[in-house]
Amino acid sequence: MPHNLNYLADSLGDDVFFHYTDEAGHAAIMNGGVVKANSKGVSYFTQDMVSAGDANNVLFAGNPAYAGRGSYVIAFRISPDRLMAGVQPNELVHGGSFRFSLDDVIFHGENPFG
Amino acid sequence: MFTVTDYQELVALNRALMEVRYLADNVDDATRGSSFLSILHVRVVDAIKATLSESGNAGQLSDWEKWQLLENRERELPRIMKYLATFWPGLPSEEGKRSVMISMLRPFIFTDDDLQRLISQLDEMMANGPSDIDE
Repeated sequence: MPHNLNYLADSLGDDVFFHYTDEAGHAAIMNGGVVKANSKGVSYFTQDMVSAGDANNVLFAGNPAYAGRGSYVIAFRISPDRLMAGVQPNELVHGGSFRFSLDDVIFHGENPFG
Repeated sequence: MFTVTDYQELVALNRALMEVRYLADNVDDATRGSSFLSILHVRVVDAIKATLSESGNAGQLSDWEKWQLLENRERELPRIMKYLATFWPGLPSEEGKRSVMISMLRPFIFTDDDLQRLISQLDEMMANGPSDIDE
């Protein structure tokens, strides 16, 4: 399955969710096949398509420690009923780590949204 | 007068209130159940929606209105019930129960039926023992 931008554009739908990360996070996630849960026991997704420059404000509350976290994006196909509403409308939460197969990935790489 | 009108700052305030009032562990009980924070939370969400309305952003406004629906609060509701269970039997009246439940449920949108159902559910849980209350 191609994981490129054209495939992403052709595949967008209600069941496509993005995980924004940095280069190291992208490598770890793709090598491990898992988006690891944070200290609160959840992993985060969004359907917002935001540029690397906007990601910090839009997704991470302007936290300077998260600078660069929007530079890479992984797009997954996930059944929406597996996710819960987050603390703001553009945040979806998966209880625990999110394990995936490559068939679930429709794009990964540098942020294609600018 | 302290005012916040920037959309991202308001959203960050909402995040902080969501954490303190519902999601974070080890929050002081008085703080978690504060009626002042409840009212402030309503004002913050109202301000977010007003900002979006004034800027003509109908799509995002609709997203926030859906976000506010109690039926979508899958993570927060069990935590609200668990918190209320810690002092529920000591509440002296039905009015007292309604008051603390409403304070905790705001800023989410709920009906009178929701309110009565949750009060009855908590009464029943307490009658059956606190082990019935899980997150």
